[in-house]
Amino acid sequence: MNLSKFFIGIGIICIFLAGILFWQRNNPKRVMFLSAPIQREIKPLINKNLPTRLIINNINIDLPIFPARIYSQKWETTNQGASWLDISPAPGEIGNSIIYGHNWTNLLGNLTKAKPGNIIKIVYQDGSSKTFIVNSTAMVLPENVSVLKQTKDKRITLYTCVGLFDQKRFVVVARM
Amino acid sequence: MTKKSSLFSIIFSLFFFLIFLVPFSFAAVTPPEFPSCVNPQGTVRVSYSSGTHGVPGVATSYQGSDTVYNVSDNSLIQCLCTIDGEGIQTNWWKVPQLSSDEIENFKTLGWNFIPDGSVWGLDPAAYLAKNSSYSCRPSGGGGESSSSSSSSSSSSNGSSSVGGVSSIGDILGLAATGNIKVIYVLLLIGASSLFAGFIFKRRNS
Repeated sequence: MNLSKFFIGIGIICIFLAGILFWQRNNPKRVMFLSAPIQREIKPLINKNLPTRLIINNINIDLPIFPARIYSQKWETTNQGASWLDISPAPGEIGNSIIYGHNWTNLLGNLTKAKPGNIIKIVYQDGSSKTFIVNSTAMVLPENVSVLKQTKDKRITLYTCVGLFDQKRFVVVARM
Repeated sequence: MTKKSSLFSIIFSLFFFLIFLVPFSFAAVTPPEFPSCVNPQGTVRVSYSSGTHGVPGVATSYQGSDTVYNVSDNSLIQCLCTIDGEGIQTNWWKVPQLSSDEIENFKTLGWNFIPDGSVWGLDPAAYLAKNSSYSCRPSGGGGESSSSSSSSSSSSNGSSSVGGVSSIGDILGLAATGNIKVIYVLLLIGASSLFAGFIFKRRNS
């Protein structure tokens, strides 16, 4: 009798947790309580004008940007906005600036609707902003790190998960 | 009960065979890694800002820009950007001697066998070619060709420092930005536990 209660309890808890995660993934509003955003003092080597907001009006994306790092091949992510890989150049500097985020409806879920020619606006710490134009989009495997490689032009590369079991990445490249 | 257990064994063996053994049967010859046309790497072999271009395995021809990059000694990528903004990436792999079975296996995985690459302006050797689609901005004679000249000479390995940033050359994969697997696993465990719970309850009563 106790064993049956135990299994039924575990089952209810698992399904409840799955429901919360599903709600979190599809909730259009960002009301996050499962995890806090990255609260870390950023001390960049160079005095960068850090990006603070990502705006793509065509696809209803307006998110705060948080600097993030990679530790032992594990990428920091946030539930509160988009992450900017702080070892990549700041958007607008020469090189390939990497911005990524979860594919949830309230985060970068709409990124897959981005089309070449769309305008991406990046707002900076000092209140200034720069615009980029989407140049190309593609679906790649997560092992395809060629999209991260540095360039001599000024570009941003945004990506999020896509596909069955989130096994691919949708990549958007935009240039100034 | 014996029937049930033998049925279970058969299903388990089939599952094991499909998951673990079948992929290894293709592992004798593995294709190289190809960069994406959204950030092409390597040296430009040929670049056309406009014109009519063909794609292996596709009968129709396309109008637009076309750039071919030498990625390594045995691999190339062709980035075609049509005037409609439709991008087609073709991964070209100069293959060693392959048996007809191996060629057939690769064909089932979407590769096209090209017995003579010189027909396509490549080396006179056998190639396997695979197409994938992407989107591009055709203005200015093709989105990719404009970047090709800059990336071709550098051909960085991802470890170059631009603007004083740290190296990203050691990154092995992109971030996991989805959690659908966790949701499915939780649902599966939940459903299984509920099922097990009801079975126990039924037995006890």
